Parts: sequence; structure tokens; C-alpha cells
Amino acid sequence: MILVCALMLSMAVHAQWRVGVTAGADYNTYTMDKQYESDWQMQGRWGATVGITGQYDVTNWLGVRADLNWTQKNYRHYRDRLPIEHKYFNDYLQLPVMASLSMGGEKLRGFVNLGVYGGYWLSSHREGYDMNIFTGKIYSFSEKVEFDSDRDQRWDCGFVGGVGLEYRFAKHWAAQVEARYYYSTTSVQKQYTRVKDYRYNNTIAIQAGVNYQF
Amino acid sequence: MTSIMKHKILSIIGVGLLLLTLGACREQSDTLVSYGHQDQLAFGEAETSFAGKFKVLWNGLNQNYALWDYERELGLDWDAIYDQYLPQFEALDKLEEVTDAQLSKLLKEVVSPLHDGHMVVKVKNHKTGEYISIVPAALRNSERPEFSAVRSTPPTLKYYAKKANGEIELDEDGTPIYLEYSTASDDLLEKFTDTEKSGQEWINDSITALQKLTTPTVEQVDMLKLLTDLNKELEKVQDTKEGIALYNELANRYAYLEIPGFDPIDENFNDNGLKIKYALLKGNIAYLYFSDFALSYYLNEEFTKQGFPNASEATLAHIKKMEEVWNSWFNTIQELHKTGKLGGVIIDVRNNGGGSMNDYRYVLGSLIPSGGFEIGQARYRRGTGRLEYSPLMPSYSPTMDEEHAIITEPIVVLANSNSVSMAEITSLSTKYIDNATLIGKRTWGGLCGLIGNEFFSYNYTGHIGEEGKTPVYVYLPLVAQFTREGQLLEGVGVTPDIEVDLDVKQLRSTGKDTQLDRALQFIRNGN
Repeated sequence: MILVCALMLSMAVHAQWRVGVTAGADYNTYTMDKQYESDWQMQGRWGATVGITGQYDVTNWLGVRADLNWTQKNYRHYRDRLPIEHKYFNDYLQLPVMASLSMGGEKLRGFVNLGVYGGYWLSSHREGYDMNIFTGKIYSFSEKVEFDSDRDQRWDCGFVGGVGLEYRFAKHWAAQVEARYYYSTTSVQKQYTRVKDYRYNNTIAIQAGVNYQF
Repeated sequence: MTSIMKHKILSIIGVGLLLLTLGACREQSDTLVSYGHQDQLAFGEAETSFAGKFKVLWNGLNQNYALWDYERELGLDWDAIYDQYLPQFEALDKLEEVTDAQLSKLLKEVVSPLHDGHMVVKVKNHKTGEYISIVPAALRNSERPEFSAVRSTPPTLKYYAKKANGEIELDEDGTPIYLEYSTASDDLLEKFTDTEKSGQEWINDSITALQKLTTPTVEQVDMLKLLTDLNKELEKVQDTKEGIALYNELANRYAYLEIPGFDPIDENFNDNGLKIKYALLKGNIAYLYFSDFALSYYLNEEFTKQGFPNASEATLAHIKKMEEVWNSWFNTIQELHKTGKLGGVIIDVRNNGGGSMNDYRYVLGSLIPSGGFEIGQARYRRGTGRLEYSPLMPSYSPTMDEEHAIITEPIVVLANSNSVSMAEITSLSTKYIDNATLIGKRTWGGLCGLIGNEFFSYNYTGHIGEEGKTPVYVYLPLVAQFTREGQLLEGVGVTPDIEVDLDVKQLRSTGKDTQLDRALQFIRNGN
């Protein structure tokens, strides 16, 4: 409500478009209840993120920003008591829509992005090693994970927030660095049995980009 | 402070508060307990409640069963089973008395739709104190028309081993090349009861002789009483674990009488006993029958130590004789192959209940190249979720490491609806060996592997509870076994290349075996 009020107050003052590109790295962690599986260990993994951005500046301190990005949400799990490690590579197409609040001077400004995002799980791949208990052999694998329509929730949405700095190095051009956090509120796993089992991605992205201001 | 600055600060605070509420946007998973071990938290309710037992059974399978995707393909809705049967088990809790039959009926309805071929479900009826045991695959197979007759008719070579019938090769002395040996506890007991002038017969003869004495000595009177008492106690001995234990107790108690053939039986034969038959049938066709995949206990030193710890001289003698039969089969094949005289090989796994995977190296694995034989792909459960699995991993059966000739002559595996587990892995292998053919009937339908160790629960599969200790116990597969083509055959079995019915009446009356005859015809005529 506060955001909306702020927007309405200052809309008439300033209006400007800018577009840009971003790229960076992200670190994703996977939240699930391990239940009694005490030797399962979950660990986050790094991935990549690239995207295009568009921003409509309502005032000189407030804009509405939308990105379209490809973001990996990777993670790893492994067993303490058996030679098993699975590394997952998950590709998402995301559309974060954020309010962008900025402050500072003409050249260098700090900004905060806050909003929501929607996404779609494009593909999944896993690699690592597993153990065939019967033969005692360790098996290395690298394979595409086929989606299961009962199990896998491919639509994703949640909240997104970021902080960053922008440096205007030419009249129309600016560079940005941003630390961004995607907090998914959609379970990666559908509730396909009567036993509820929710799993979520949490993704921190460190990204840089340039934008052109019209 | 300007009004714009105020707006900025208020905006940031507002969104910050919004972020604080994000935690509430994620839902909590249900809490699960492990059913791997005897544990009050997991099994407490099940001790005194039928609904509690059902919940353990349902949840335990939900978290551990390895074939949920397969069951889904086959149309089973496990959640619907919960909704349908929980109220019925709750209704049992309201009854004063619940018979074993009532509980058994409901349990059968719950687990019979599951297609695993090894699963054993044991649930204690706390009202009667009895365990109800359900084997879904046995229920399924019992509906097959030939099943019960076949099950009670194990393969026999009586007809084929007779020289007069002309079905068997003869050695240099004109003796049929036929060997058999058994360490099955029923046969070991039979040796005591049926061997001439030994064991039971010696006791009976001695009693008769002593009774005929008109003026027996004091020692003879004592002997008569001892033997009569022993005879009465021997009547209680049956072919069960308890029966063998009783027999052994008597053998030890009366050892000082030095009754010939009345020797203790190694109780490890209860589990690791084996029947084996080797015959060289006409046309130099080497036939092998063995009742279980337990050959490793007789052919591999390490396995022998595990299967027969502290083996006595008598036990070692049994093991040696078993080894001799297998050696005869294997060496004959090798020698005949090298001289170009081998007609073919028949491996008879009919009524074979399965057993150790290591045995593969002594059967089909002794006829094909070393280095293991890929039978398909294995997949394990990798989490509590119903559809969480490992990758498909190549699944190899061990083949003979020692140097041996690769057999290129026809190999026939004989199988039937009572060929289970490793017998089915052997049957399946014929599909991938050019010179091998499967003849008989579709097998049992239980190819997924299990592990005997109740405490090996790292894979979420293997066992629910502990047998005889927890009110619910399930022995279930550790792994899903796929064919090379990626098919699961659980609950279906391996289909023969040549389907042949067993004429049970004929086999019982004349000893002629229609399935074996077809195998011989196939090898001799090539079709």
C-alpha cells in the first residue's frame, strides 16, 4: 500500500524508459524436510544467470523494473554413509517484476529492488555417482531428468529483492551490480500423495549489467 | 527531511515488513518417522490398534517400496487404498474380538494389488497373538491354472536316468551318467529313516530282536527300554526347523548308544540345504537341476564359512559330495565342448525358489565369458517421496572368473510359474544370449532383489520393522530390476521362447516330463 501511494504521488513528475542486459552467478539452496534421513546432506551449488531488463522510471528515485532471465537453480545432495552424490542442474526462465527504489548522486546511485517473480522450470539434468548395492559397484552418471507431471511443479513464483549500485558512465549508459534474492513460495514438488512434502528453491544472484536510458 | 525522502523511507520499511511475512508463504511438510527398526514412536500405536497397524503398513510401504511408478502405470492408487481401508481397520478396533481370518482378509485386499514378487507382509493380531502372513505374489500366482499342481511336482529324472529308457548316456562301464545329492533337511532326515540297516531301521530291528529274547540280560532290558523311548520321541520329529532341532537333541542324548546313521544334522542345512541333479542325457546333453540358488555355499570357500560356520566333518563331507555333482556337470560340458561332442546344456530352474546372486557364476555364468553379464538395469529408492529414485544403473550378474571355454552349443533354461527371483534372472538372461532358449511356462514374477539384513536400511527399502518383534513387518525389494529394454517384469515374469505345459499326471505316473522332452527335442533337432 505504501508503495502504491508513493507511486501515485510522484508519477507525474518523472517518466523514463531504460533497457539493459545482465549476467552473473547465482547460488541456489534447496529447502526440504529431510525427515529421518540423517545421512542425507543437502548443499547449495553455483549456477549462472543472464537476462534482459526493462525499467520504467516513474520518478528519479522510483521505477518499475521487469527482467526476463534464464537462471540456474542448482543444488547437490549426498550421503554420509554411502558413496552417493547427485548434483542437480535446473534451468528456469523467470520474470521478476519489481519496484526499484534508488538514492544517491547523479553518477553513482544505490538502489533496492523489491517485487515478485514468476518462472518456469525449463529443464533438469543431474550428474554424480551412485552405488549399486547388489554389485557393490559405484556408477557415475550424467543424465537428463525427465519431468514427471504428477511430481514436478514446473511453474514457480515467489518474492524477489535486491540491492545494488549503479554508475552512470555516459549520458545514456549506466552499469549496475546487484545482489538479488529469489525466495520461492511454490513447492518444486507437487503434493502428489496424501503425505505433504514441500520443497523450495532459494537463490542468491550476484549480477552485473548495463542499461541504456532513452 | 523532505517529503520525498519520507516516502522513500516508508516504502523501504513497508517492503521490509512485507519480506518478514514471507516465511508464512511456505508450507510445512508432514512429519515422517522411520519404520526401519523396532521403535516405539513408529510402532507404538500398532501394538494395540488395527488402524495403527494399517497406518504403519501404508506409510512404511509409501516411504520404502521401490516400484510406485510401476504401480501407477498399472493403475494402482495407493492414496485411494488409504481412504478405503483405514475406516475398515478403525472398525476392527471397535470389535471385542477380531479373528485372524478377518484380519487376513483385509490385509490381503490391501497388499494384493502390489506387484512385487518377493514381498512378505506379517502383521500381528494383538487380539489373538498370532502373526498373519501375506505374500501378494503367491496370491497372484495361485490363480494361475497350473500353479498348485506344478508347485507340488518338482522335476524328477527317474524315467530319464533309467538305462532301459534309452534317454541317458552311459559311462565306460555301461552305467547311466547320473548323479544326485541332497542336503535338504527333509532328505537328510529321510537318510536316517530310509537307509537300510542304519538309523531308524537299525533301531526298529534292534527292538524286534530284543523283544524276541526269552531271557534277556539286565543290559538288554535297559537297551530295549531306551530304544523304545527313543522311538516314541522320534515320532515327534518332523521336517521343520524345530523338528531338526529335536532330532539333533535326540542324536546327542543317545549318542552313547552308537546307533549307526544316527548323526546330528547341521542345522544350517535348514536354510542352506540344496538338491542337485546332474545327468548326461542322450546326445551328450548336460542337464543340471538344483532346487535353490545356494550353490555358492558348497562351491565357494568364503560362502561355505558363512553358510556353515564351524562345520563338522560330516557337514564338510556333504559339501564335498555336492561339489562333486556340480563339478561333474561343469567338467563334462567343458570336456565335451573341447572335443566337439557337446550336444547342448539344459539348466532346469523349475520350482527353484532363487537365492544368492553369486550362484550365477556357477550356472549360466560358467558357460559365458568372464567379466559379468549385463542383465538389465537396477534402480534404487533415494528418498521418502514415492517417486524419488536413483539413476538406472547397469546391473551385472557375476560370471565365472576362472578360465573356461565359452559354450556355443544350444543352452536351454527350463522354467515354470514356480521359478522365482534368481531363477528368473537366469531365465531373463537367455533373452540376451544368442545360443540360449527359454522353455516352459512364464515365471513367477519377482526379479527385484532383496537383502536379508534387517538393519541395512540406508536405501529406504529392504525391511519395515523387525520380524517377530514389531507388530508389522514387511520384507520388500531393495531394488527395481529392469530388463535391458527398460521393462519391469514384476508381477508378470519372464515369458518363455517356447511355451510348453507340464503334463503333471504323466510326470507322476510315468516320469515322462513334457517340458524336458521339448527341451531335448529343441536341442536335438534345432527347433
